[in-house]
Order: sequence, then C-alpha cells, then structure tokens
Amino acid sequence: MGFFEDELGSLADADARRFAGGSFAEDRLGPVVGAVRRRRAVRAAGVGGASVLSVGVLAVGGVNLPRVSASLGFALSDAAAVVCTTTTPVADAPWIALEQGSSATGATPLNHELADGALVGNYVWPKVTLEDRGSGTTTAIDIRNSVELTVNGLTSELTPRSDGTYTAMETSGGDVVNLRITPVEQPDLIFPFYPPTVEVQVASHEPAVATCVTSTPEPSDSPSWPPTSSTTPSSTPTPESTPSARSSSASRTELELPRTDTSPSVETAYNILDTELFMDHPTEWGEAYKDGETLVVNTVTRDVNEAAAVLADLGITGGVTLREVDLSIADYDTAMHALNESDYLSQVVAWVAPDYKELRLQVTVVPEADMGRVDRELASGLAEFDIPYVVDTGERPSFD
Amino acid sequence: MARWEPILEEVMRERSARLLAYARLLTRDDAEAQDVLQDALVRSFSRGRAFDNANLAEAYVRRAIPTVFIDRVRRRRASERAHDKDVAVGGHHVLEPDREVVMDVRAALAALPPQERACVVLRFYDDLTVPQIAAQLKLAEGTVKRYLSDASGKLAQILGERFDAPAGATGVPVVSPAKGVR
Repeated sequence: MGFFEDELGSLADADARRFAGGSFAEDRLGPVVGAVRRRRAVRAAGVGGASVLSVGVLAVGGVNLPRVSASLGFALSDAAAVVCTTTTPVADAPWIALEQGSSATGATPLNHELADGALVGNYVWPKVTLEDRGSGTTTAIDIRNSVELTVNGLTSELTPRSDGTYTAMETSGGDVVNLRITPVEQPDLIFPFYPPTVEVQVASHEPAVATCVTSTPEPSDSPSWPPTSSTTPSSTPTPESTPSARSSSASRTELELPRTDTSPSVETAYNILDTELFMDHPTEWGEAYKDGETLVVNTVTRDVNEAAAVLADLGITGGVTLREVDLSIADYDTAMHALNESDYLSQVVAWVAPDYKELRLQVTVVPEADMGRVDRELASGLAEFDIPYVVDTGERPSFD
Repeated sequence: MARWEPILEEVMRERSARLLAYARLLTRDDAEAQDVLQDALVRSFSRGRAFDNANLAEAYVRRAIPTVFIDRVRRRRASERAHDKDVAVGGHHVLEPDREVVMDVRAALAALPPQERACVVLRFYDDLTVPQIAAQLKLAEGTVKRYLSDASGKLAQILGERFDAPAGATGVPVVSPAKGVR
C-alpha cells in the first residue's frame, strides 16, 4: 500500500476518533427515524407527495421481492401492471439474467452516463410484471425505487437511472446487469406516480427482449387514492371521521407561481423538495401533491411568500402553488404511529397514509372490522393530534 | 417498535463515527458529512430491507454514502444553474486541516471536484475496481477512468512523489498528460 492509501486511512481513522462521542445520534436519530417511517409508510401505502401513487410488488414462484412492511401492515396498491413476455422462451435459465456471470460474454450492457446535473430518481416507474412463458415463472418488480430482486438464490439490487435504464447489481458487489426501460409518451400521465407504458429490454444474452403490455387503470380524481381494486368504500366517514375544522379550507392561503421556462418540471421539483426540505425538515412542511400541471406545496411554519423564497433558493420558481396549512409531515408521522398503540387497530387496519391534498389521514380497514369500534379507537388514538381522518375498507396486501 | 428501528439506532449510536469519517472523506466539511450520512441512513432503511444485524446495515449505509454524496452534488448544480449562478461546487474549496499529518491529503482531496473525489475515495480507500466504482456511482466506466485520470494528475501535482497510486492496478494513468489542474 502506498503513501496515498495510507494517508487516506489515517485521515479516516483520525476523523473517526474525532467523531466518536459526538452528538450525531442524539441530534439526528429522531429526524432519521421519522423520515424512514414516513417513507416506508408511503412506499407501503402507495401514497406519496401526490394524491395518487401506485406501488406494487409481489412474489411468485422462486422470485422473492422485498416486502414493504409497516407496523400496521399497510397494503400495496395493485393499481397498475405491465406484463412483459419474453420473445424467446428460456427453459433452463431465468428470464432475467441475474445469475453470476450474466454480464460476461454475450451481454450487451447498456451504459449510459448520467448527464451532469441530472437528477437521479426523476422517473418513477410502475410495477412491471415479467412472465417467462417457457417456465411459467412470473414476477413483478417495483421499479419506482431501488429494490432487491432474488432469482435462483442470488440477490441483486435494481436501481433506476434517470436515463431510463436501470442497473441490477449483485448486492455482494458482484456482477452488474444493465436493463433498459423505455417510457412511452403518455401525455395524460398523472404526476410521477401513475405509470407510463414501458418497454423492457434485458441487456444480457438471454432473453434478449421482453415485450410489455400495459394495463393501467384510470386514475381516480378522488383525493383519497384508491386503496385496491377490491376496496369497497364504507359508509364512513362517520361524524368522528369527518375532517375536522382544522381542514385545508379553514386555514389555506395560497400563492401561485406561474410556470417559467427555467423552473424544473413538476416531477423534478417534487424530488428536489422531497430531498431538500421534506426529509430534513418534516415539521416545517406538509408535503406536496399534483394538481393538474401544478405542484401544490404545503407550508406549515412559513407564510406563502417566505416559502416561495425557500423554493426559489432551490431553483423552483414556477409551476407551484403554495398553501399554508397546519399539519406537517411530522404530524402525520406521529399520528400514524400513535395508531400502533391500539391493539385492535393493529389487527384491522390494512393501511393508513396521509392525504396531503385533503389534509387528513386515509385509513383503510379490513371489511370484517367493527366500524364502530374502529371509529372509537381512531378517535381515541388521534384525539391529541387534532388530525382529520376518513375510513374506508379494503383488503390487506397479498404478497404470495 | 418496528424491527428496523433498534438496528437503525444501533448503527447511529455505535457506528456513526466510522460512517461519518467515511463521509467526511467525500465532503467539504463536517456538517455536510452529517447531512450525507443522514440521507444515506434514510435511503438505506427506507427500502424495506430486512437488516438482520447492524453489521449488514452499516455495510449498506456505507455503500449508500458515495451515491448520496454525488446525488446531492447533482441537485446542487441543477439548482445553481436554475439561478444562473456560475459556482463550482466544492471544486476548489480547501478547508483547514485538522491534523498536520493528514493536512496535505485533506487539502488535496478538497481540491478535487466532487465526482473526482468520490472516485478517488472509492478507488484508493475502498479499493474498488473501475467497474465497481462505475456501478456504485451509476457512471460509465469510461467516465470513471477519466475522473480518476484527471484526479490522479491533480493529486500528483499537489502531493508530488508521495502520490504513488499504482496505475497498473486500475489501468488508469497516474497523470493525464492532456489535462492539468483545473
């Protein structure tokens, strides 16, 4: 080992000693836990910054996908699927070549360099169902975010790239397979969370091409996203579950920033806000959602003009409507986790997630739940938070 | 309490010094290192992984740190472009060293643009190969080679003969004859 490597090691060792005993954990544990909880809830419930978001993972046959879990057993939306069938049946090999050596001879990795300044994660991908007609194997990949995919005992991490490709890398640091997913124009796409039609090409020696057919349900205009296709709205909201006086209309002040040529797209703007503001400052913001071609951003601790200045600092100068609200991301987090205190709710709640448009919690319980008891428990559990909620019914997710 | 929470807490309480030190190799200051680590923790624990123990979780977080760092740099640049600002992010920002023995290395690292710095750390501290670096940072291998080549030239200029990176190990020329220090 040379001088430079030695000195890098010495530098890291010295810094580690310097950081030991520091206050990082004390200072940051709360925000990190809150952000993780929120993101897990969002991933699981299928509700993000917009009012509608589809998330889907399932596991079939020998393919296991990560199970998004939350303490309440939040459900996964089955809102969209892209069915891909390989053009050449592969009898004795996985349809998606993630085995050792898959990037070796015969593979044509698609390496596309990200443009400087490109935003990773701009694209939000749908659930993709891949079917190997040869073996009958079917699986689905949630490629909105990085996921792990296990095929024949080998686990890889799939990471979407903003150029439309994504990388599958063995988690142990081994082989890399690059896949290309090409979005097809879909002008009426609902903010990033409704899936575009995609074509999937597996850039490995076999199979060469997968052809995809999209089945995308019509997005709902309802502010409360559709939990699952099997969900039947209940007779609720009851008086207790009707949004309280602390609703958006009561406190909303809005400021509209007309779209400019220099302001990033709605999707990009949301990603910037999510990373720069929502994650780090959950008490100051109430998340965001898409309204037409506008991103509506909820500000809690700033008035709309102050919030506009913050957004401008991040390069977001148009295409945004700011509104003042009372409920912060942290409020939603805290309220959702308060529901864990109820043993009964833990048993019957299929999923729960914030509705940032209507400023309330959307609680979905299993159909067999005692709705009267649900309302009592919710009213009790959320009493101290003064947070509105609505209840409907739906099934728990099925992973198998 | 969810199953991941005790592991997250253990990582933050018992492993954060090492992780911060690693992040600090990439960043311009301690505060940015803390931000990068926080983002890496959130990113790693938000993906539904079932970490069985803190060692595995630490490994994931550690691996996420360079990616998070590069993502932040990209976002910052995009934001700056939107404001028509011509700011070189971290390009030549040299901090006061905190130990004399590592002063030159700290200063030399800080003199590198962020992407080059990340590649250097992954290559010479983590001992990753060019393809591994490319995969981790989501860059083309050619880009990684170029970054390493440019960085090697600058480091050689700053550190002189003490920068004795083994060119043969990566196929990366130690000094790029075509490009000098920016």
